[in-house]
Amino acid sequence: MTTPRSKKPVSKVTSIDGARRKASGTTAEMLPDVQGLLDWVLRDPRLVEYCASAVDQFEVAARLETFGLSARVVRTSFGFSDVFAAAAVVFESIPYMDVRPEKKPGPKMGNAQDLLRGALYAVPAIFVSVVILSFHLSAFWWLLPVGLTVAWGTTQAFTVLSWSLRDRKDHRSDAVLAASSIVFTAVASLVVSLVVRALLGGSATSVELAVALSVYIAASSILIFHAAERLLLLCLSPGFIGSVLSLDTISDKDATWWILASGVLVVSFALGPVVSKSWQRPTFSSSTKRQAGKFLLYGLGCGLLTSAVIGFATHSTRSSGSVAIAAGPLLVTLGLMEWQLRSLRSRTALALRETTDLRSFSQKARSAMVRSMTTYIGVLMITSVIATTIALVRHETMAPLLILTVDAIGICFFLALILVSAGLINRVLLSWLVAFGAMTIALLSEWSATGHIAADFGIVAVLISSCAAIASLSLLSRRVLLSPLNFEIQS
Amino acid sequence: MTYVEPTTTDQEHECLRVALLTEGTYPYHPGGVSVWCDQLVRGMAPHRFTIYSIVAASDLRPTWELPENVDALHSISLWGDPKSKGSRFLKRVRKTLGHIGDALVEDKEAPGLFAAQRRSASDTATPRRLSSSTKTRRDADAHDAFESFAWSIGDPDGGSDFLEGLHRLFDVSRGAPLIDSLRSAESLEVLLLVMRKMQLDDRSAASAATEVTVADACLALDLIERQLRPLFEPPPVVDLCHATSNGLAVLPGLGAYWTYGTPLIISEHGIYLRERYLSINAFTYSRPVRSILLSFFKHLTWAGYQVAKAMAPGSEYNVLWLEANGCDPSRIRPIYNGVDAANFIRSSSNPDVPTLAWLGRIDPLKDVETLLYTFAKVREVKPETRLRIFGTASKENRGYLKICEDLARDLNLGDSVTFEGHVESVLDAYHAGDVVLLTSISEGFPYTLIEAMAAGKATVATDVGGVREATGGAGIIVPPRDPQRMADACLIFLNDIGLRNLVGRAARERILSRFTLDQSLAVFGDLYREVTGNITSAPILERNQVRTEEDMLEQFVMHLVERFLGPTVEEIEVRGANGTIQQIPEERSFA
Repeated sequence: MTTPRSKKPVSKVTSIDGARRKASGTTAEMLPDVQGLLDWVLRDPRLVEYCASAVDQFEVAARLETFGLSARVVRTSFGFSDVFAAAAVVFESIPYMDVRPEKKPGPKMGNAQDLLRGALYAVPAIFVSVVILSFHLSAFWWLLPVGLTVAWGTTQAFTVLSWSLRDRKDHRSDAVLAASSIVFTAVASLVVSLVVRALLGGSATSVELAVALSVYIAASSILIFHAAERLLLLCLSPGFIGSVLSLDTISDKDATWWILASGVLVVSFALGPVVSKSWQRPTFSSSTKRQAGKFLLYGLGCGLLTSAVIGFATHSTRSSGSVAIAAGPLLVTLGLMEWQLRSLRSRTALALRETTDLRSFSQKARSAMVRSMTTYIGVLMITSVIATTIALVRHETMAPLLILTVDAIGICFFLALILVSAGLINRVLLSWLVAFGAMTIALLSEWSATGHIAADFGIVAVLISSCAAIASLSLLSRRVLLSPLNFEIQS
Repeated sequence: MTYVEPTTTDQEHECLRVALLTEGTYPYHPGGVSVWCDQLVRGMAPHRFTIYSIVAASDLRPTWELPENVDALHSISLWGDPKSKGSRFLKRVRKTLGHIGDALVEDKEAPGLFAAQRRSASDTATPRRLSSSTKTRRDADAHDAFESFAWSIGDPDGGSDFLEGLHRLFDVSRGAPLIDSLRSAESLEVLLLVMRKMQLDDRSAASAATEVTVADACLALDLIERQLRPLFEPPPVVDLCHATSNGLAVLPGLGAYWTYGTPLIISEHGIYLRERYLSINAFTYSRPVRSILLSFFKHLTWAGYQVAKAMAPGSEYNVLWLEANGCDPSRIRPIYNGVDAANFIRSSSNPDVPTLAWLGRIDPLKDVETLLYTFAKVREVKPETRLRIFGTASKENRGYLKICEDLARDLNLGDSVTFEGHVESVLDAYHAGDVVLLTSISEGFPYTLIEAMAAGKATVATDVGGVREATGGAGIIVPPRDPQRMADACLIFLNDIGLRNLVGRAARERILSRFTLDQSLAVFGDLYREVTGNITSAPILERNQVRTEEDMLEQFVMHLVERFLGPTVEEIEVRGANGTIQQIPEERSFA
């Protein structure tokens, strides 16, 4: 974008006394032909633009050379000793022109699409419920925690690796990465499921379902990474239809086939690059690998915290109703989490561009932060009140405590997400350490006092740990998030 | 910094340990400078080399096979993790536990929930906010050093302060990165003030009114901190540092100079500062960011000139830029690139159809657009002509390649122009054309040109850098960015096979007599020994030694071309003070 600001149009440039005085290094044979030089420059609008926006005469000299004004030409044609003497004259004489780089669009504000994306994340929870009901697997509570935790961790790690490749514009490694992500997730969840089964019991079907669930999550994350959300929605539609029909028209087992079809579609499309792209073994720097390791821990932390609630809730209520109601507010607000995170990033990016001092930026960043947090927590509270009301009507006595715990986890995840998106994953990992430390202390104190750990107290322990994580995340992010250096810089 | 092979030292007499300092070239990228580096290292055996290569990303693989006399390759990544040593992990854990509130190290990009959010996955630098209570002494020292350093960037005459500031930052770092210390709110605040002052001091009231935003300051701090990273690497323990360009490549050499007194020599193929001015333009950065970055590079190159014992520009022409930026003329020793003549033979056959060949990196500095416009004009006269473009685009320049491909399509060049990418044998590429073109807007002493000449090809090249010194009349030179003149020159060669062959032979003779690899290496050998004090009085290449006033070959070729073409004065139209058109003698007149 070019915005001439000078009152004097570039086309009306004339030689000026000051410019002549500047042309100090002239040859003895002839006076410098300032007007001739300026006319020569004015012949080419591109050169005029470069010279008029130059920061100093060196920049003008570089430009003059690239437009053919070599040292020889400048000496023999215009009588200057060298290109720098000529550049000094041009720099002084050509009026300033405000040339600005094309503005890159900043991060977009969140919108209703984010709510839909949140729904995509939540849909599998419905599927899992249908599948579990169809196989009467409620006793094998560890199925969901294992599948969820393993997949959460591995998908985070592989996403880091995928970004690394995309930054290098290396698409030839997509096939290897997609296949590895799914295979690695499947193997990891199989191993963990077998270990858990050996320790806690359960059927072979539970192991298979845990593996299937983790593979589905890994595959869907690949599609989302490649921005193929509509395709994912299309793939999920058979399962969704089957789940709805299972309420009345078809049997649970029939619905399971529909869901399985959805899963197969998602995995098939996620593995698309395997058949369509050339294979190349990707290489990663040690820093990228280490970063992937950190995100693996981050994902595992998220999964474990969620699994702890599921585990204790299942043992406490022996009813899937309470768990479903309690999970409702978090699942419903997943999309809102995305929305508010994007809006926060967009507002801070705008503040970076608009403010000219750090204090103003901090004020705007704080305001954006408060707005996003308030919106998310507000909606979470409203949905929680609705869920609590439903639970009380259904006489689900444990539900209010569960809802409170799940809400705490939701706030904790949102804070963690903000920190992670600001590049502060170490602080999140530190907070996970604090959270699991608090949970361990609470459970050990209960065990030492009573000799066993009641499931109800387990939920309280998760609540305590979530609150500890919130406190830790808030403390660690209190000032950091107001620093402009923590927000994305377009370089 | 990655460590590829263990360093060995060689104490043999007269066998120097040399640190070759590169930026964005050898051994990770192709291109003329990389060719030169490879030739230099191989040719300077038995001297032992350690390569310090400054690169953008940390996960590159060398594209050059390292010669046997390379003891180690250190890559210094500007956009990667500066340190990846396991031993630092425990220190970080201890530090993290010790200062829960503020001890954060090395946070990086975030894919977020299902990759919806992301910071650059190749970026590892961590912005960090330090509270005053937890600042270490080192942080405070670093901040003090940075403050004076930053103000020196803003001072047009602050070269000495800049050099002193670099030295202070180097002392504070003690071989470990200062990322956390420099990426602080305090540094940001200082930079914001400096940038504001620079805008106020700017030449134009309109420019002074340009507000410096926090985003500008963040970007400037981000970029300057990255550029400084090579300074914080442990300095090379060698007898001599040889930087292949000024600028960032000099930074490890400065460390070695300050620590061990190691002499530094700098080769400048293109002119580093000139190329920064061309690349950091108004279309890429805002004026405040551009002003401070260019001032940073100007001071940095000035600093390099002050510390280097010798400067070896690749051509006589580039000496102008060195002197203009404060280089002591007595330290300047132009040394031309050389080609291994044995690798370049004349072809006995010509292409089936009239063909123009171009070889090089697809890069805006090579001005491929002018090449395409030129070709379009040639085709208007000779529609059967082909253009074969050999060379690849780096990751950063893939957008430019797309622009060029689109332009070729817009010009309806169809299949007559081919982007052929990487070529295994450059000789085959030269022989693929009847005429070899060079369209660059900035050059040092281009290999493409001297290799094509060595292969006996007629060349048409732009009048930039040392091109005129290379051809010496054995080829046609036209002004840069002038497709019409270049097309005219191409047509002269395409229409006259006799002239083409004659000029090609003359060009090869010129290269064999002046610009061979052996000659170039011999001069470097002398220079190495002189600056390290291994010999006392070996004469080093004198300025203008290579150029003689009476250049018989040039005169001979000029005479031949005149015979074929008639008037031989090229005219560049320039309007003189009296309003008349002056005829400016250039190399040839083909208009």
